[in-house]
Amino acid sequence: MLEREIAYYESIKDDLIRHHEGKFVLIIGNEQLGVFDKSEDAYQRGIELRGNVPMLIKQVRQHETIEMIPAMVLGLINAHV
Amino acid sequence: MAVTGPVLEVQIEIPSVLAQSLQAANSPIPNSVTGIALIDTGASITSIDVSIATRLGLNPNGIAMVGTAGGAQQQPTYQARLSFPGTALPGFEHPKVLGCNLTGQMVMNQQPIIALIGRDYLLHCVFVYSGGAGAWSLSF
Repeated sequence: MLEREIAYYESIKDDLIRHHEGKFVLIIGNEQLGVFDKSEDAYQRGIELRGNVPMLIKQVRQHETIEMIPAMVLGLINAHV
Repeated sequence: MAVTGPVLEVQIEIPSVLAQSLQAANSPIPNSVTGIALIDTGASITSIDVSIATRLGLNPNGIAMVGTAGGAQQQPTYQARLSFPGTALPGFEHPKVLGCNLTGQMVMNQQPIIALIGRDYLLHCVFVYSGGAGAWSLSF
C-alpha cells in the first residue's frame, strides 16, 4: 500500500521539513507533484493530473501523529457486560 | 440507547472533485452507500469500513498510523463525502477518513456499522449524551 510513495517521501523528508513543514505534499509514484496548504487542494491536483489513482498526501511533520480508535482496535464496539 | 450507543444513518459518497472528474470523462459515478454510523468519542479520526471504499472505487490518498496493542500500524486513508439523511446535520467532505475493518459490527436489528464518527468531526459540534433520558443530540 503506497510503499513506493512512502519510500520516496522518506528520501526527501529532511528537505521537505526544512522548507515546507506543516504543508501537505502530494506524491504519486516517485514524483513529488506539489506542496499545498490544504489536503483537499492536494487531492484535487492529484485527480486533475493523474485521475483516480492511489496517491500519498502527507502533512510534512518531524514526528508522526498516532491515531487512536480503541473501541475498534480492541474489538469492543459491541461489547456488553 | 444504552445497548446501541449513539448511532445514526450515514451516507458515504465519492468526493465531489472525483465525481466531477468522472462526469467530465463520461464515466459512471458509483452510487452512494448508506448504513449506520456510531459516534465514537474515543476515536481521534473518523473511519469507514474499507469495503465501502472499495465499493465506491476510491483509491487511498494516504496512510495513517493507528495505535494498537502491538504498536502503531499503517492503514489507508481516503477522501470521502459523508452526510446524514433525515437529519439537519451538515454533510462534510472529509479529506482523510481511515479505512478500517468493521466487518461483523452490527446494531439495531443487525444493521451493519459502516462508519465511526470520530473527534475530528465532533470538534465542530456540541454533542450531548443523556444516559438517564436515553437520548443524545448533536448540534453545530
